[in-house]
Amino acid sequence: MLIVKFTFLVQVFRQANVHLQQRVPWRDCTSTTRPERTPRVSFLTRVLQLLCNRFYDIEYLVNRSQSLRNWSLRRQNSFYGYTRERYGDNVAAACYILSLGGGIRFSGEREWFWENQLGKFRGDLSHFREIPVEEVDAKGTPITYDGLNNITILSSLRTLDLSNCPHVDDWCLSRLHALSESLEELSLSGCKKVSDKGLATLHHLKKLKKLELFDLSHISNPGLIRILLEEVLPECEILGIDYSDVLKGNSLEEINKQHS
Amino acid sequence: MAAWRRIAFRLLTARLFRCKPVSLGRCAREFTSSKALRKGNDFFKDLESEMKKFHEKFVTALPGSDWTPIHMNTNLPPERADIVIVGGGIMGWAIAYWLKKKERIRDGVRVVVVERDPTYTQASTVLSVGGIRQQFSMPENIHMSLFSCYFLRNINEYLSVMNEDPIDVQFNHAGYLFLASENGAQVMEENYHIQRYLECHTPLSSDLVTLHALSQSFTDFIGRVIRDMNVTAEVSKPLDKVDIPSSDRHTAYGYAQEVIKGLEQQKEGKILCPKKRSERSGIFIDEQILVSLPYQFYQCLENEGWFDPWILLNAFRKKAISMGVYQCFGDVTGFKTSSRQMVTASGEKVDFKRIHHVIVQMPNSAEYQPVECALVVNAAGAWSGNVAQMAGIGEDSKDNILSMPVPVEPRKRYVYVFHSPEGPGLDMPMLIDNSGAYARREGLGGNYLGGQSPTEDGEPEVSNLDVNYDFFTENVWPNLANRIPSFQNLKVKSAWAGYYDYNTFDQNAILGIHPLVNNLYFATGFSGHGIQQAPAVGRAIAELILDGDFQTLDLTNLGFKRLFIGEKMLERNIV
Repeated sequence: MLIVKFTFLVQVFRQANVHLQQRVPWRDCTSTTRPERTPRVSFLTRVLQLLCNRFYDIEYLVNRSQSLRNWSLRRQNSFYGYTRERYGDNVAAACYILSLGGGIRFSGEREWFWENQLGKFRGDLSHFREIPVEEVDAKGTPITYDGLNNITILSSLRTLDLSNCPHVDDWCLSRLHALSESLEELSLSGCKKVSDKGLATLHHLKKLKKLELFDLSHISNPGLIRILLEEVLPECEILGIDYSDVLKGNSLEEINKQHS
Repeated sequence: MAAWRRIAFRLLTARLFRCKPVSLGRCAREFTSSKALRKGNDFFKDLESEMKKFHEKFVTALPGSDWTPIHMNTNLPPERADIVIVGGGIMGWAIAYWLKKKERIRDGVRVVVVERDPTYTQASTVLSVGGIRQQFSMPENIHMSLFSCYFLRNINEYLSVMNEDPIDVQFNHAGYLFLASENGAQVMEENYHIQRYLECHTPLSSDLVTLHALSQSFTDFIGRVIRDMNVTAEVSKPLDKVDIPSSDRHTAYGYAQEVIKGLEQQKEGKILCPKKRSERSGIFIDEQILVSLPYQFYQCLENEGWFDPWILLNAFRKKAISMGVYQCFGDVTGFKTSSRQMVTASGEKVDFKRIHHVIVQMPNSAEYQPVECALVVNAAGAWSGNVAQMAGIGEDSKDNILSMPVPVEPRKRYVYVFHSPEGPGLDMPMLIDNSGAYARREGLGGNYLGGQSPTEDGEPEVSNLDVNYDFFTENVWPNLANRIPSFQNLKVKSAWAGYYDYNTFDQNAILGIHPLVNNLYFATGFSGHGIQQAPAVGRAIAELILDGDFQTLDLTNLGFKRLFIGEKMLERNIV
């Protein structure tokens, strides 16, 4: 029995190079473009994937690790209720953003607050109880939908920078309507999970003056979205999408067929 | 001697005993008699593959497995199952998924989902428009929608299968806009109150653009709202037995401030004119009958919109099958039941029935399989009434509970796709008029979906799914064009029809176990809002089956009891 299992495993490993390839999502494959070869994953990842397919226990362990990651993300984005009750909304939001690794600036102040390597920040936040937060820089932070609970309570937030946040998606964007009174600058460059449906929800932000949408290559019709958004938000300046993006990779006939 | 040699020679040349290749016309295959000659001289490779096959068979034949040496039709459902779910729409698969998720040990329950049509041509799930809203009048409905929204938001945590793409249900967060006439305004205010004062703090999801003049009632209403708002902004009741994920107390607070501001403006004679906003989005509201309650800008709120129900169905299906649910394509043609007569305290004789077998007939054949089961869940959608009749509900002529049929019947509804070049843009919500007509944007190219629920006497017949385009020209188009002037110029691109599993009693779900058929559960009668309650209903039925009682959401009000008592749980916000 052991010999049979061993030879079986050897055969399976031999077939590993053939069968184990990174999956290309189907929506990336259009008729006119060839699917790009995704970079090869490391050997260890491939072995782990193979073992997952064969053994139940390893699959269970991998699922567990994924749910642990979800749990830790949720913990990082928990609601700072106690801080809010004791010190007010602004301090709570400040603590939250700083704990994620972002930066915060209060209105009237010139300096930004950041966390350093050891997780400490300069200055005493309890002075800023009444002073509203004006700018939030959350570049690259693991902010999620639940975490936005802490930010949507800020009534006079002017700048929100959510570029390169991996977990910001359409649901998060639909929450930003709570900031519609005061938000003037928003940046969503490089957020991979944002799609055109999320951008459609930005029509609430009446005071928006600058919207940055660089590096959103996965959106299907960026030029069209820009046109429709400009129709809805006349005072807003949209950066990062060129009108000629409409024609990127697609011919004019195809677009006409799509939208007729 | 020579004769024998001649015979031997003839025999030799007669190609009987020689292994020569015989060419049959165009077919150039070689017919040889020996395996070894065919494969070449690879005895060890052969042996290895034979050993592997033997090993596999040996492993599957160990005790506790289903394998038998007799060849059988693998499309048949298993002979024995714990739970059989009749109906493979979104409800059936949601229940199957939650059953597998809640079982404590691997293969704790064996679940079989029986679906009649593998192509889902007539299923209500895939033909639905796919909207989700929280604007209901019953708290149970609101809670179920809220949980379903939470589920859709975190769908990858629940339904992601390893090595498959992450799930994207294409959710459009556009919100619902209900318009009410003067008569309906009162109802809508009450609904709004219910949505606000629920034990949880629901996000403000309704934008009441009520068409009634600035009258005393209007200011009273605002006054009432503010007064009650101040109360509820402070009170936070503990949420027991309700699983609501996010608390949006801050929105209530901000909202209260807005209302106060609006009222002050009203005293000074300034009112936010609705015409400006409506100009932009193209929705025409009669200017004289002003409206614009100051919280207008909360219109398209979170957690409301529409999504793709086919993706959700497939996600449930894939995940449930990966967890071990058996899928079977077949028609349930009957049940084998047994009944037991018992006498009540007042001397009445009551028949208790129990289902022992579900008879599943294979498509396009007379072959059938009786599946022995412990529990049966009726999630058959528009045909739940027929399935219930198979179990004997509604067939008795005597006047007892068993003679009352399940009041679910199919009703046909049309959905039209039209294109309007100057229609409302990105900010158009799902608009529902006071006449019952609805319309929503579809995609980015100026296409819209619209329809209307017909009146009671104008119900179309349900034998097929043909579309009646006259209904659009007579009923839907005038109502929509009245509300949105740019819709006067439109062109119908296509249309389809689907069935509602219409509950003729009170248009709300029927969830729970039948009192007289002890092992038949129902999850049906949703009357058009099933898709937005599916994840919550799946969890509720799974709790009912595995835990014995509702754990998270208490849906006993939607059980069978109200049908027998005659108490209607009317849902007033039906589209």
